[in-house]
Amino acid sequence: MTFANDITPDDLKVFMQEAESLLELLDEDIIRLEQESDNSELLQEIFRAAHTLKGSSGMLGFQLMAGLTHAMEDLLDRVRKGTLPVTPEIVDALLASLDGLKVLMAGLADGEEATLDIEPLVSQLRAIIDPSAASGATQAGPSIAEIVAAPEVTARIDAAIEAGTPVYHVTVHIDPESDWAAVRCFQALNELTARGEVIASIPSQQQIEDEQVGKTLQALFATAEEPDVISAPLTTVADVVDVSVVPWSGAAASEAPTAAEGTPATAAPAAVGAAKETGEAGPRAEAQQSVRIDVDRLDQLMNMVGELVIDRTRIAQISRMLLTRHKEDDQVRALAETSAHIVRVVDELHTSMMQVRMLPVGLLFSKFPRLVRDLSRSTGKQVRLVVEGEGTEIDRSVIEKIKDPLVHLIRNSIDHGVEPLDVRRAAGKPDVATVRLAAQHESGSIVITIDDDGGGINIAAVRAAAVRRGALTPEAAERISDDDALQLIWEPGLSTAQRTTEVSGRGVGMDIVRRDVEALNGRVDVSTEPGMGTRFTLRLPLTLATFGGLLVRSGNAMYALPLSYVQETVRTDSASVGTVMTKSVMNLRGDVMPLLRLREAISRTGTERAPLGDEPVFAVVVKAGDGERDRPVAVVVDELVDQQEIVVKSLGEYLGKTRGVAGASILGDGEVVLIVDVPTLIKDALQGSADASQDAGRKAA
Amino acid sequence: MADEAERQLVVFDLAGEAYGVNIGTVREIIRMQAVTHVPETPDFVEGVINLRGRVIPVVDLRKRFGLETSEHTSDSRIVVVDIAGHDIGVIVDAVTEVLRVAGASIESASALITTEDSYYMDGIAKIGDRLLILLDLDRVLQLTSDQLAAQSVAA
Repeated sequence: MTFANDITPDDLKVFMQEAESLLELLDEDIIRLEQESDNSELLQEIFRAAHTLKGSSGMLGFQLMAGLTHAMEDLLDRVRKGTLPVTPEIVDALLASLDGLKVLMAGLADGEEATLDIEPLVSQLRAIIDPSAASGATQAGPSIAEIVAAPEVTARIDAAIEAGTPVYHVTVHIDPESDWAAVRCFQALNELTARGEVIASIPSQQQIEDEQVGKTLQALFATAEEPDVISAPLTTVADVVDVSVVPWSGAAASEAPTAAEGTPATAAPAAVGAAKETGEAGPRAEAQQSVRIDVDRLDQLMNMVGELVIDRTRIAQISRMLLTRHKEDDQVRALAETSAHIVRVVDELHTSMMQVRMLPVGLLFSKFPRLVRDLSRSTGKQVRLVVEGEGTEIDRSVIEKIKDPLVHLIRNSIDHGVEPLDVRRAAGKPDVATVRLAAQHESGSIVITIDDDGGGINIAAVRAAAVRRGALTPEAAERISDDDALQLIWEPGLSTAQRTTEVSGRGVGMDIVRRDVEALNGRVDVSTEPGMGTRFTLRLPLTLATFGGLLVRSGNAMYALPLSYVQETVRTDSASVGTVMTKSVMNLRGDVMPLLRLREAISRTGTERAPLGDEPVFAVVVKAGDGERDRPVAVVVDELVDQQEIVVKSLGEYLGKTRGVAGASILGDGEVVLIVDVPTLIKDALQGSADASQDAGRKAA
Repeated sequence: MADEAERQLVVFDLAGEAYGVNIGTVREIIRMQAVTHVPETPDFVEGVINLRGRVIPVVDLRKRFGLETSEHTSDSRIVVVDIAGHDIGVIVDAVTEVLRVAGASIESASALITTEDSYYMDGIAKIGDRLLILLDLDRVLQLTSDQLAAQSVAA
């Protein structure tokens, strides 16, 4: 398909941003439409969006998009005028077309619409407008393909394309009551031949002369004329009730490129972030004063503020030191004052910057009604999604990364949590299941919950699956408490009913969900009540860019531990350290907890050296969270250094993932410190002590 | 891989041998500085350093080539190179000069060297009476499949 090549990259960029916003809007609104079918304002908004999209794409020569949105607009026009009621069929057709548009958009990044046969989508839309034409249209579909299969037709199509002449698929519907169908076909065909080359038609010229016609004329037409110029004279032919002129995209490829589908989804969050921040989300958002900012520039700004944060700590340290040494010196005092001021200002700048990076979590949540609807249809279960707390703000770096876990959890609720209709009825539950997605702030974190009113998690099934998978012996599976058995769902490969759906290909499984959430320094918990439902609670930090950290030294290297895991720091002596069943433990005020030495835990080298006599022992007590199941672990270090704001820097890809290390940071004096992956260390320590007791148990048995 | 075009090279010393790398790959050359060790990385990965606010990995070229290691001196340098879009630092004994070499004086490495080491070489240059080994750093710094396997286990 050739189109105007004089589109500048800027034009394309502006178009793409606008188009993506419009597609987002349409996605959400069309779903809403199903529930609010008489909301005329909503209908207007949808119609306008399709209309705008048609106009812009047409102007830039994106014929396929223009053609498809034109068909959507026709349908929407009838709906908003009340000629057609909103039905699930219409919503399906609109959503399918929307998906087609997204696919077409995907190719645009390379400057060309992706190849997609929009014919079936257009037919689907038109069939709703005019059901009597439907049989004609669907019959014609295969027939046109058969005609095109003929070599001389293909050759003529190719020749036209070679010459740069666009090829259209023209469909003319004739009034079913008309007695002069053959004449009308003849007239229509004449109008066409006057303006271009009719490559093929159904009925053919011969059939028309033999009066073997139906109520529809279809033609493959090559012409340099614009679609409007083609269709106008056709509509003037008597008895013609409908004309459509759609670019012919070729009978071959309707392999919607699934690889390309990845790109709009990943490109979208960045563009959505920018677009939504401008408040261009249509009449739903209040008119706000806002600006568009390129995400890259925002990131650059963030980096620089990060640098400032590091330096501000340094300046504070140095000036404090100078002040202690030279408190009589006026200049030194002046410096101390100025640096105190700088510290305050940088802190404020940092806070403001954090807020600039914040996005309402609703941006992410807005994608879920569509997901729930699709799942609802594909599983045959009736599910409604209730969303709360969309205004809760979260850092853009976090928002992008929790999408996958949330999608998986929602799928899980609908696939496995929600019972089949008969089971629900028998239990006296409403036919329509409810999945509730809620977000709120809680002391420096954001808490997202997903609950369903389904049947709850079948703990007996989980125990059985664990035994089957060999994770536990049958006796152990019996012995552990319900709570502990519930935690088994996080083990890899342990789903009780595995249905591989078209998940993003990154892997199904609750273990992936937990891993992804923990990679964000967050945690996820589950609670369930048989017959009543299940709730997943995700607790996430507000930002990934910085965190409050504890600096420690262990074996000549400095490490940073996120304060969110730190319960307390302890200075004690060798009396508190002991061994229980070959594993080191610490006795802290009567609580006995596993103990590990930081340096050795991370690099897994060396043996632990028992502290001697009166040597002080410094330890950081860490816990993965505040739940009942979270047991403390004592991490022994050589020195407790400082507490400060840590700016997270990636270790880069060359080194890959190092177990126990979550990243790096640069201190004020330029030193690079490693950030400790505390949850992993805790897991190792607790697993170690669990293994030890199991071993001991076995030996005793 | 001899070609006609002239090449501009950064020449450095390593255990008594002179090596050259394409100047196009070199981002900057900095003095030796404290390197933070990262556990569970291949032996020749010294660790990471702070390069103006970014954390980049640093490789000890002597260890990479299995040469005897020695103390770093005041001449030791970290040559920061761009490998496939990533900055990686390479520790060398000293950086001696920047040279232009005519394509004609470069011989293909495999013609002169029969061991598998020739995989890492981009050619051998003859300058006067000395020989300069041209390194293909993309290959030198490429992770071996063993290392990649080790990483996925660690992950």
